Amino acid sequence: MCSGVGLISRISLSTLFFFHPFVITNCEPNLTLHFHSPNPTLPSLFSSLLFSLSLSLSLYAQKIMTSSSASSRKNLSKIACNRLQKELVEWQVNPPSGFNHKVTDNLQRWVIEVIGAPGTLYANETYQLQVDFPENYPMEAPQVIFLNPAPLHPHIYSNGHICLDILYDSWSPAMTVSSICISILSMLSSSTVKQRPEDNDRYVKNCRNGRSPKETRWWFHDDKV
Amino acid sequence: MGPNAAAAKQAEQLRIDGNTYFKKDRFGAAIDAYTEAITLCPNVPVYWTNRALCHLKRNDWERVEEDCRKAIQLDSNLVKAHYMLGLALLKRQEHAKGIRELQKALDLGRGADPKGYMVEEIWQELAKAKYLEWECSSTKRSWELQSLKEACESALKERHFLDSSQMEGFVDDATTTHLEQLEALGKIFNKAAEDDTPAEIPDFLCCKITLDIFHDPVITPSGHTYERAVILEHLKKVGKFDPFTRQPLQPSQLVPNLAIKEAVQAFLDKHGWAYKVD
Repeated sequence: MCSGVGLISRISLSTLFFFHPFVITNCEPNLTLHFHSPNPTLPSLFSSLLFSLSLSLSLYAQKIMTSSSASSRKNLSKIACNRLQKELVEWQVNPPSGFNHKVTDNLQRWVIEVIGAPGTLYANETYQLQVDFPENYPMEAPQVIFLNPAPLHPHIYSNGHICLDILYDSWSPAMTVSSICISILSMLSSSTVKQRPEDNDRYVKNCRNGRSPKETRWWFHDDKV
Repeated sequence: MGPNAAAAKQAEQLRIDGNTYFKKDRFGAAIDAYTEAITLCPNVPVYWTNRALCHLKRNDWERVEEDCRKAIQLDSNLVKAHYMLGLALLKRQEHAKGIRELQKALDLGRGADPKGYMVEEIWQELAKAKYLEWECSSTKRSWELQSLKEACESALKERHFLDSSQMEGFVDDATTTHLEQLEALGKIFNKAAEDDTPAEIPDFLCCKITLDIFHDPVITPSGHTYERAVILEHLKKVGKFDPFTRQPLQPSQLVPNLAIKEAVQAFLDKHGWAYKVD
């Protein structure tokens, strides 16, 4: 399993207790599902991985039918508005360390500065995350991408798309912007090599029409990073 | 078929006709249909509540009240009747009575079947009314506290003036004590105003998904508590799992969390500002 798990415990145990950031990568459709057996010391991870997989399969049909609401930019629902206002207040009172939210009057799009954690490959480097909220947030995950230039990472594509299951099929409304940020930072921190995903060029080319990462069929694979 | 059964059948058909008119926004025609149904079978509460809803759509609050009262006489557990009666009472400035009806509707509504679930709607109206009530009463309370504080301060100042004119030589000590007393007095009055000062609602009274104070808390087998409407939406749209633990979860496993419900009520009774809805 990904070595990120060890690092997460240092960053924030409470937030991530139930949300291990399985890193995933996109695959061509029509391949059969396969994944290597995870670390046997983490049986709960295994079962939740299996569960997420079955969930992701059931969501495929809907995904193909409808385009992502994050890209169509409908107005936020009342629940979404309420919740985002509260998340914003909470962020201002208690911001996750290593992040700065650039406050704007746009509740539906947050731009967040990420500072690479000390002692990691990304120490002292600064990147920007763009978070777009769909109309029915938090029942649907926000769209999260890195703005150009995106960090060099085996699960981050050069167009800023991030390969992290909680942003797609493993989303749960109990997650918050803050917990997403911490997952992304732990994904960065656990990287041992600065390189693009193997299929970067092909994937980025496929996304040229500006499609949202939420329309990608993301795929779990066993992850060493 | 006896005459009663025939009348019941005819009344039921009139109700269906009324519902059809209602859906087309033809409230006058709907009212006529329900009125005929009531004439045939005056003891069926739904004819009264349906007609009340038509009157509500036409802003005819006096008739809303009449029909709701009749329906409640027939069945005192009708969520909609208490809800609409509450709205009608608020319309004619009967705040306390209106709030009582909405509260009753909310209590009954929490146990209602999912099809007729209207807790969120009732909550919005109740919260608006309760917030207004709090604004009125807290303004009065803070005014009273302010004038009492001023009276206490001037009493202290007067005594200090008397003391310092009597005992020369200890003036510095007396001034220090006097300032400390004034400060302590300020603290006491701030403390007294605390309940009426808007602050954070404790996290344990808020749903982890809405981040808002609970309206109808339900607990899952994992021990996590969520807002009923929101967890039901999650189970329908996201997946059949507990948002926190990811354990499989079915709607039938949700149980009302009465302890949290009471804790919320106790908090709201003391801190009316927490009723604020945007």
